[in-house]
Amino acid sequence: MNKTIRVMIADDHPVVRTGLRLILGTEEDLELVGEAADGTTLVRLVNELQPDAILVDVRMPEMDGLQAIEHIRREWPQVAVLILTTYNEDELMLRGMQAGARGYLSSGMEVASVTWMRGRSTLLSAS
Amino acid sequence: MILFVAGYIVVYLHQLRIHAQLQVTYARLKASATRIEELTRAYERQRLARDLHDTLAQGLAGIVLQLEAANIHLAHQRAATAQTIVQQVVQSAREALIEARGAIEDLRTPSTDAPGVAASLQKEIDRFSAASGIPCDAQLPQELCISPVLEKHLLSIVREGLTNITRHARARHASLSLVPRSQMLLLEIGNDGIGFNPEVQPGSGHYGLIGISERARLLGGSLTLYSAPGRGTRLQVFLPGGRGGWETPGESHNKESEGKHLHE
Repeated sequence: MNKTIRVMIADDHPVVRTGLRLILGTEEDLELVGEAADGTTLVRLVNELQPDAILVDVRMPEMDGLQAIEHIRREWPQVAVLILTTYNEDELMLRGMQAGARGYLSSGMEVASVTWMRGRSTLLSAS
Repeated sequence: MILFVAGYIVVYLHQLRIHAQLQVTYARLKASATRIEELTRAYERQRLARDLHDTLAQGLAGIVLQLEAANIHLAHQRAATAQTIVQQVVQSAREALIEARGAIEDLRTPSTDAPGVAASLQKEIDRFSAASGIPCDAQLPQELCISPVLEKHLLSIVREGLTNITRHARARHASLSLVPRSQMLLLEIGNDGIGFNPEVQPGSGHYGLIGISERARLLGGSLTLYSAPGRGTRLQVFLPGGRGGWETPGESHNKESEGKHLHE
Protein backbone atom coordinates (compact mmCIF):
# COMPACT_ATOMS: atom_id res chain seq x y z
CA MET A 1 0.00 0.00 0.00
CA ASN A 2 1.38 3.41 -0.99
CA LYS A 3 2.14 5.98 1.66
CA THR A 4 -0.34 8.87 1.65
CA ILE A 5 1.33 12.13 0.77
CA ARG A 6 0.33 15.02 3.02
CA VAL A 7 -0.14 18.19 1.01
CA MET A 8 -0.78 21.85 1.82
CA ILE A 9 -1.97 24.56 -0.55
CA ALA A 10 -1.33 28.31 -0.37
CA ASP A 11 -3.18 30.76 -2.59
CA ASP A 12 -4.78 34.11 -1.74
CA HIS A 13 -7.79 33.51 -4.00
CA PRO A 14 -10.57 31.44 -2.33
CA VAL A 15 -11.98 30.14 -5.64
CA VAL A 16 -8.54 28.82 -6.64
CA ARG A 17 -8.14 27.18 -3.23
CA THR A 18 -11.53 25.48 -3.65
CA GLY A 19 -10.51 24.25 -7.12
CA LEU A 20 -7.22 22.86 -5.84
CA ARG A 21 -8.94 21.22 -2.87
CA LEU A 22 -11.36 19.46 -5.22
CA ILE A 23 -8.66 18.39 -7.68
CA LEU A 24 -6.42 17.03 -4.92
CA GLY A 25 -9.50 15.26 -3.53
CA THR A 26 -9.63 13.13 -6.70
CA GLU A 27 -6.16 11.70 -5.94
CA GLU A 28 -6.27 8.68 -3.61
CA ASP A 29 -2.61 8.99 -2.62
CA LEU A 30 -2.85 12.64 -1.55
CA GLU A 31 -4.24 14.06 1.67
CA LEU A 32 -4.88 17.78 1.96
CA VAL A 33 -3.78 18.75 5.47
CA GLY A 34 -3.94 22.55 5.38
CA GLU A 35 -4.68 25.73 3.45
CA ALA A 36 -3.18 29.20 3.67
CA ALA A 37 -4.12 32.52 2.07
CA ASP A 38 -0.77 34.26 2.67
CA GLY A 39 2.91 33.46 3.11
CA THR A 40 3.02 34.08 6.86
CA THR A 41 0.18 31.62 7.54
CA LEU A 42 1.78 29.09 5.19
CA VAL A 43 5.09 29.16 7.10
CA ARG A 44 3.26 28.82 10.43
CA LEU A 45 1.18 25.87 9.18
CA VAL A 46 4.18 24.11 7.63
CA ASN A 47 5.88 24.35 11.02
CA GLU A 48 2.78 22.95 12.78
CA LEU A 49 1.68 20.31 10.28
CA GLN A 50 4.99 19.25 8.66
CA PRO A 51 3.46 18.29 5.27
CA ASP A 52 5.34 16.25 2.67
CA ALA A 53 4.60 18.75 -0.10
CA ILE A 54 3.18 22.22 -0.60
CA LEU A 55 1.63 23.97 -3.59
CA VAL A 56 2.42 27.69 -3.36
CA ASP A 57 1.08 30.66 -5.30
CA VAL A 58 3.99 33.03 -5.87
CA ARG A 59 1.80 36.14 -5.57
CA MET A 60 0.40 36.40 -2.07
CA PRO A 61 -0.08 39.13 0.52
CA GLU A 62 2.13 39.72 3.58
CA MET A 63 5.09 37.37 3.02
CA ASP A 64 4.80 36.53 -0.69
CA GLY A 65 5.21 33.04 -2.18
CA LEU A 66 8.88 33.43 -3.10
CA GLN A 67 9.85 34.62 0.38
CA ALA A 68 7.82 31.78 1.90
CA ILE A 69 9.53 29.20 -0.36
CA GLU A 70 12.99 30.46 0.60
CA HIS A 71 12.09 30.33 4.29
CA ILE A 72 10.55 26.85 4.08
CA ARG A 73 13.45 25.43 2.04
CA ARG A 74 15.86 26.81 4.63
CA GLU A 75 13.96 25.56 7.71
CA TRP A 76 12.36 22.38 6.40
CA PRO A 77 14.34 21.19 3.34
CA GLN A 78 12.51 17.85 3.33
CA VAL A 79 9.24 19.55 2.25
CA ALA A 80 8.73 19.36 -1.52
CA VAL A 81 7.67 22.71 -2.95
CA LEU A 82 5.70 23.18 -6.15
CA ILE A 83 4.96 26.64 -7.52
CA LEU A 84 1.43 27.46 -8.48
CA THR A 85 0.82 30.09 -11.15
CA THR A 86 -2.36 31.29 -12.83
CA TYR A 87 -0.71 30.99 -16.22
CA ASN A 88 2.85 30.42 -17.42
CA GLU A 89 4.69 33.33 -15.82
CA ASP A 90 8.24 32.45 -16.86
CA GLU A 91 10.10 34.97 -14.72
CA LEU A 92 8.19 34.14 -11.53
CA MET A 93 8.50 30.39 -12.16
CA LEU A 94 12.24 30.75 -12.73
CA ARG A 95 12.64 32.73 -9.52
CA GLY A 96 10.58 30.13 -7.66
CA MET A 97 12.74 27.30 -9.00
CA GLN A 98 15.85 29.27 -8.00
CA ALA A 99 14.33 29.66 -4.52
CA GLY A 100 14.21 25.86 -4.25
CA ALA A 101 10.90 24.71 -5.80
CA ARG A 102 10.93 21.26 -7.40
CA GLY A 103 8.36 21.97 -10.07
CA TYR A 104 5.28 23.92 -10.94
CA LEU A 105 1.58 23.64 -11.70
CA SER A 106 -0.53 26.16 -13.53
CA SER A 107 -4.05 26.54 -12.20
CA GLY A 108 -5.34 27.54 -15.64
CA MET A 109 -3.88 24.45 -17.30
CA GLU A 110 -5.71 21.31 -18.46
CA VAL A 111 -5.40 18.61 -15.83
CA ALA A 112 -4.70 16.11 -18.64
CA SER A 113 -1.79 18.18 -20.03
CA VAL A 114 1.79 16.90 -19.96
CA THR A 115 2.95 19.79 -17.78
CA TRP A 116 0.21 19.21 -15.23
CA MET A 117 0.93 15.46 -15.19
CA ARG A 118 4.63 16.20 -14.65
CA GLY A 119 3.78 18.47 -11.71
CA ARG A 120 1.42 15.82 -10.37
CA SER A 121 4.20 13.21 -10.57
CA THR A 122 6.50 15.52 -8.63
CA LEU A 123 3.80 15.91 -6.01
CA LEU A 124 3.19 12.16 -5.79
CA SER A 125 6.92 11.43 -5.49
CA ALA A 126 7.23 13.65 -2.42
CA SER A 127 7.76 11.82 0.82
CA MET B 1 19.22 110.59 -30.06
CA ILE B 2 22.00 108.03 -30.22
CA LEU B 3 21.54 107.34 -26.52
CA PHE B 4 17.79 106.87 -27.01
CA VAL B 5 18.32 104.40 -29.89
CA ALA B 6 20.98 102.52 -27.94
CA GLY B 7 18.69 102.37 -24.91
CA TYR B 8 15.82 101.14 -27.05
CA ILE B 9 18.02 98.43 -28.56
CA VAL B 10 19.14 97.30 -25.08
CA VAL B 11 15.55 97.11 -23.86
CA TYR B 12 14.47 95.31 -27.03
CA LEU B 13 17.28 92.76 -26.71
CA HIS B 14 16.38 92.23 -23.05
CA GLN B 15 12.77 91.59 -24.00
CA LEU B 16 13.88 89.14 -26.68
CA ARG B 17 15.98 87.30 -24.11
CA ILE B 18 13.05 87.14 -21.67
CA HIS B 19 10.76 85.94 -24.45
CA ALA B 20 13.24 83.19 -25.36
CA GLN B 21 13.49 82.14 -21.71
CA LEU B 22 9.70 82.03 -21.44
CA GLN B 23 9.54 79.85 -24.56
CA VAL B 24 12.05 77.43 -23.05
CA THR B 25 10.16 77.35 -19.73
CA TYR B 26 6.86 76.78 -21.55
CA ALA B 27 8.39 73.92 -23.58
CA ARG B 28 9.73 72.32 -20.39
CA LEU B 29 6.36 72.61 -18.66
CA LYS B 30 4.62 71.10 -21.67
CA ALA B 31 7.14 68.22 -21.78
CA SER B 32 6.62 67.62 -18.04
CA ALA B 33 2.85 67.58 -18.46
CA THR B 34 3.16 65.09 -21.33
CA ARG B 35 5.49 62.91 -19.26
CA ILE B 36 3.07 62.93 -16.30
CA GLU B 37 0.24 61.96 -18.63
CA GLU B 38 2.30 59.12 -20.12
CA LEU B 39 3.26 57.84 -16.67
CA THR B 40 -0.34 58.03 -15.51
CA ARG B 41 -1.45 56.03 -18.55
CA ALA B 42 1.31 53.45 -18.01
CA TYR B 43 0.30 53.15 -14.36
CA GLU B 44 -3.34 52.71 -15.32
CA ARG B 45 -2.40 49.91 -17.73
CA GLN B 46 -0.41 48.17 -14.99
CA ARG B 47 -3.27 48.56 -12.55
CA LEU B 48 -5.71 47.13 -15.12
CA ALA B 49 -3.39 44.14 -15.63
CA ARG B 50 -3.15 43.59 -11.87
CA ASP B 51 -6.90 43.87 -11.39
CA LEU B 52 -7.58 41.46 -14.25
CA HIS B 53 -5.11 38.98 -12.78
CA ASP B 54 -6.43 39.28 -9.24
CA THR B 55 -10.10 39.00 -10.20
CA LEU B 56 -10.99 37.51 -13.59
CA ALA B 57 -7.90 35.38 -14.28
CA GLN B 58 -7.72 33.90 -10.78
CA GLY B 59 -11.48 33.39 -10.56
CA LEU B 60 -11.64 31.67 -13.95
CA ALA B 61 -8.60 29.52 -13.15
CA GLY B 62 -10.31 28.37 -9.94
CA ILE B 63 -13.54 27.62 -11.80
CA VAL B 64 -11.63 25.61 -14.45
CA LEU B 65 -10.00 23.54 -11.69
CA GLN B 66 -13.37 22.86 -10.06
CA LEU B 67 -14.91 21.79 -13.37
CA GLU B 68 -11.91 19.53 -14.04
CA ALA B 69 -12.56 17.88 -10.68
CA ALA B 70 -16.25 17.42 -11.55
CA ASN B 71 -15.22 15.89 -14.87
CA ILE B 72 -12.91 13.39 -13.15
CA HIS B 73 -15.74 12.33 -10.81
CA LEU B 74 -18.12 11.93 -13.76
CA ALA B 75 -15.55 9.75 -15.55
CA HIS B 76 -15.57 7.49 -12.48
CA GLN B 77 -19.41 7.36 -12.35
CA ARG B 78 -19.57 9.50 -9.22
CA ALA B 79 -22.44 11.64 -10.43
CA ALA B 80 -23.61 12.81 -7.00
CA THR B 81 -20.15 14.16 -6.10
CA ALA B 82 -19.87 15.81 -9.52
CA GLN B 83 -23.24 17.48 -9.03
CA THR B 84 -22.19 18.86 -5.63
CA ILE B 85 -19.08 20.31 -7.24
CA VAL B 86 -21.07 21.86 -10.08
CA GLN B 87 -23.29 23.58 -7.52
CA GLN B 88 -20.14 24.90 -5.88
CA VAL B 89 -18.86 26.09 -9.27
CA VAL B 90 -22.03 28.11 -9.75
CA GLN B 91 -21.37 29.85 -6.44
CA SER B 92 -17.71 30.43 -7.36
CA ALA B 93 -18.72 31.87 -10.73
CA ARG B 94 -21.07 34.28 -8.95
CA GLU B 95 -18.24 35.38 -6.65
CA ALA B 96 -15.94 35.87 -9.63
CA LEU B 97 -18.65 37.90 -11.36
CA ILE B 98 -19.03 40.15 -8.31
CA GLU B 99 -15.26 40.68 -8.28
CA ALA B 100 -15.23 41.45 -11.99
CA ARG B 101 -18.02 43.98 -11.53
CA GLY B 102 -16.00 45.62 -8.77
CA ALA B 103 -12.96 45.82 -11.05
CA ILE B 104 -15.07 47.38 -13.80
CA GLU B 105 -16.45 49.90 -11.31
CA ASP B 106 -12.87 50.75 -10.35
CA LEU B 107 -12.09 51.66 -13.93
CA ARG B 108 -15.08 53.94 -14.20
CA THR B 109 -14.14 57.59 -14.59
CA PRO B 110 -16.41 59.99 -12.73
CA SER B 111 -18.46 62.16 -15.09
CA THR B 112 -18.53 65.94 -14.78
CA ASP B 113 -22.09 65.82 -13.45
CA ALA B 114 -21.01 63.47 -10.66
CA PRO B 115 -22.68 64.15 -7.30
CA GLY B 116 -19.55 65.65 -5.74
CA VAL B 117 -16.44 64.37 -4.04
CA ALA B 118 -18.01 63.70 -0.64
CA ALA B 119 -20.90 61.70 -2.14
CA SER B 120 -18.56 59.68 -4.37
CA LEU B 121 -16.26 58.91 -1.44
CA GLN B 122 -19.21 57.96 0.77
CA LYS B 123 -20.36 55.57 -1.97
CA GLU B 124 -16.91 53.94 -2.01
CA ILE B 125 -16.98 53.64 1.78
CA ASP B 126 -20.49 52.12 1.74
CA ARG B 127 -19.41 49.61 -0.93
CA PHE B 128 -16.33 48.70 1.13
CA SER B 129 -18.33 48.16 4.35
CA ALA B 130 -21.02 46.14 2.55
CA ALA B 131 -18.44 43.86 0.87
CA SER B 132 -16.07 43.43 3.82
CA GLY B 133 -18.41 43.73 6.80
CA ILE B 134 -15.96 46.26 8.32
CA PRO B 135 -17.61 49.48 9.61
CA CYS B 136 -15.86 52.66 8.51
CA ASP B 137 -16.13 56.10 10.14
CA ALA B 138 -16.04 58.88 7.58
CA GLN B 139 -15.13 62.52 8.00
CA LEU B 140 -15.76 64.25 4.68
CA PRO B 141 -16.06 67.93 3.73
CA GLN B 142 -19.58 68.92 2.72
CA GLU B 143 -18.42 71.27 -0.01
CA LEU B 144 -15.20 70.71 -1.86
CA CYS B 145 -14.31 71.96 -5.32
CA ILE B 146 -11.60 69.94 -7.04
CA SER B 147 -10.90 69.14 -10.68
CA PRO B 148 -12.37 65.97 -12.25
CA VAL B 149 -8.80 64.69 -12.75
CA LEU B 150 -7.93 65.11 -9.10
CA GLU B 151 -11.26 63.58 -8.09
CA LYS B 152 -10.59 60.54 -10.27
CA HIS B 153 -7.16 60.01 -8.69
CA LEU B 154 -8.52 60.64 -5.19
CA LEU B 155 -11.22 58.00 -5.68
CA SER B 156 -8.66 55.53 -7.01
CA ILE B 157 -6.42 56.09 -3.99
CA VAL B 158 -9.38 55.57 -1.63
CA ARG B 159 -10.40 52.37 -3.46
CA GLU B 160 -6.84 51.01 -3.30
CA GLY B 161 -6.59 51.92 0.39
CA LEU B 162 -9.90 50.29 1.31
CA THR B 163 -9.18 47.22 -0.85
CA ASN B 164 -5.91 46.81 1.03
CA ILE B 165 -7.83 46.76 4.31
CA THR B 166 -10.19 44.08 2.95
CA ARG B 167 -7.35 41.93 1.63
CA HIS B 168 -4.62 42.27 4.22
CA ALA B 169 -5.55 44.13 7.41
CA ARG B 170 -7.93 41.70 9.20
CA ALA B 171 -9.40 44.84 10.75
CA ARG B 172 -12.53 45.19 12.87
CA HIS B 173 -12.85 48.88 12.21
CA ALA B 174 -11.72 51.41 9.61
CA SER B 175 -11.75 55.17 9.27
CA LEU B 176 -11.41 57.66 6.46
CA SER B 177 -11.05 61.43 6.57
CA LEU B 178 -10.52 64.05 3.92
CA VAL B 179 -9.56 67.51 5.14
CA PRO B 180 -8.78 70.54 2.95
CA ARG B 181 -5.78 72.36 4.40
CA SER B 182 -4.70 75.65 2.85
CA GLN B 183 -3.67 74.71 -0.68
CA MET B 184 -3.74 70.98 -0.23
CA LEU B 185 -5.87 67.99 0.72
CA LEU B 186 -5.06 65.62 3.54
CA LEU B 187 -6.52 62.14 3.13
CA GLU B 188 -6.17 59.64 5.95
CA ILE B 189 -7.25 55.98 5.81
CA GLY B 190 -6.86 53.98 9.00
CA ASN B 191 -7.66 50.56 10.41
CA ASP B 192 -7.18 48.64 13.66
CA GLY B 193 -5.94 45.47 11.95
CA ILE B 194 -2.78 43.38 12.21
CA GLY B 195 -0.49 46.11 10.87
CA PHE B 196 3.01 45.44 9.57
CA ASN B 197 6.53 46.78 9.67
CA PRO B 198 6.74 49.59 7.06
CA GLU B 199 10.54 49.31 7.04
CA VAL B 200 10.35 45.82 5.55
CA GLN B 201 10.27 45.75 1.75
CA PRO B 202 6.66 44.94 0.79
CA GLY B 203 6.02 41.67 -1.02
CA SER B 204 4.36 41.37 -4.42
CA GLY B 205 0.96 41.25 -2.70
CA HIS B 206 1.32 44.89 -1.68
CA TYR B 207 0.77 46.40 -5.11
CA GLY B 208 -1.91 48.62 -3.58
CA LEU B 209 0.48 50.64 -1.40
CA ILE B 210 2.96 51.02 -4.24
CA GLY B 211 0.12 52.16 -6.47
CA ILE B 212 -1.07 54.76 -3.94
CA SER B 213 2.46 56.07 -3.47
CA GLU B 214 3.05 56.32 -7.24
CA ARG B 215 -0.27 58.02 -7.85
CA ALA B 216 0.34 60.56 -5.06
CA ARG B 217 3.84 61.25 -6.37
CA LEU B 218 2.58 61.79 -9.93
CA LEU B 219 0.12 64.34 -8.61
CA GLY B 220 2.88 66.21 -6.77
CA GLY B 221 1.85 64.83 -3.39
CA SER B 222 3.14 62.21 -1.00
CA LEU B 223 2.19 59.11 0.99
CA THR B 224 3.27 58.54 4.59
CA LEU B 225 2.66 55.19 6.21
CA TYR B 226 2.17 54.63 9.94
CA SER B 227 2.01 50.98 10.99
CA ALA B 228 3.47 48.38 13.32
CA PRO B 229 2.70 44.68 13.80
CA GLY B 230 -0.48 44.36 15.87
CA ARG B 231 -1.12 48.11 15.92
CA GLY B 232 -3.14 48.76 12.79
CA THR B 233 -2.21 50.96 9.87
CA ARG B 234 -2.76 54.60 8.92
CA LEU B 235 -2.13 55.97 5.44
CA GLN B 236 -1.61 59.72 5.22
CA VAL B 237 -1.80 61.13 1.71
CA PHE B 238 -1.12 64.79 0.91
CA LEU B 239 -2.38 66.00 -2.43
CA PRO B 240 -2.01 69.49 -3.89
CA GLY B 241 -4.95 71.42 -5.39
CA GLY B 242 -7.47 71.33 -2.59
CA ARG B 243 -9.21 74.48 -3.69
CA GLY B 244 -10.00 75.46 -7.23
CA GLY B 245 -8.64 72.38 -8.98
CA TRP B 246 -6.09 71.97 -11.73
CA GLU B 247 -8.19 71.99 -14.83
CA THR B 248 -8.07 75.74 -15.54
CA PRO B 249 -5.06 76.36 -17.85
CA GLY B 250 -4.52 79.88 -16.49
CA GLU B 251 -3.96 78.43 -13.02
CA SER B 252 -1.30 75.96 -14.08
CA HIS B 253 1.63 78.06 -12.85
CA ASN B 254 0.18 78.37 -9.34
CA LYS B 255 -0.60 74.67 -9.19
CA GLU B 256 2.97 73.77 -10.21
CA SER B 257 4.21 75.90 -7.34
CA GLU B 258 1.89 74.12 -4.90
CA GLY B 259 3.15 70.73 -6.05
CA LYS B 260 6.76 71.76 -5.63
CA HIS B 261 6.08 73.16 -2.21
CA LEU B 262 4.74 69.79 -1.10
CA HIS B 263 7.94 68.04 -2.16
CA GLU B 264 10.15 70.39 -0.22
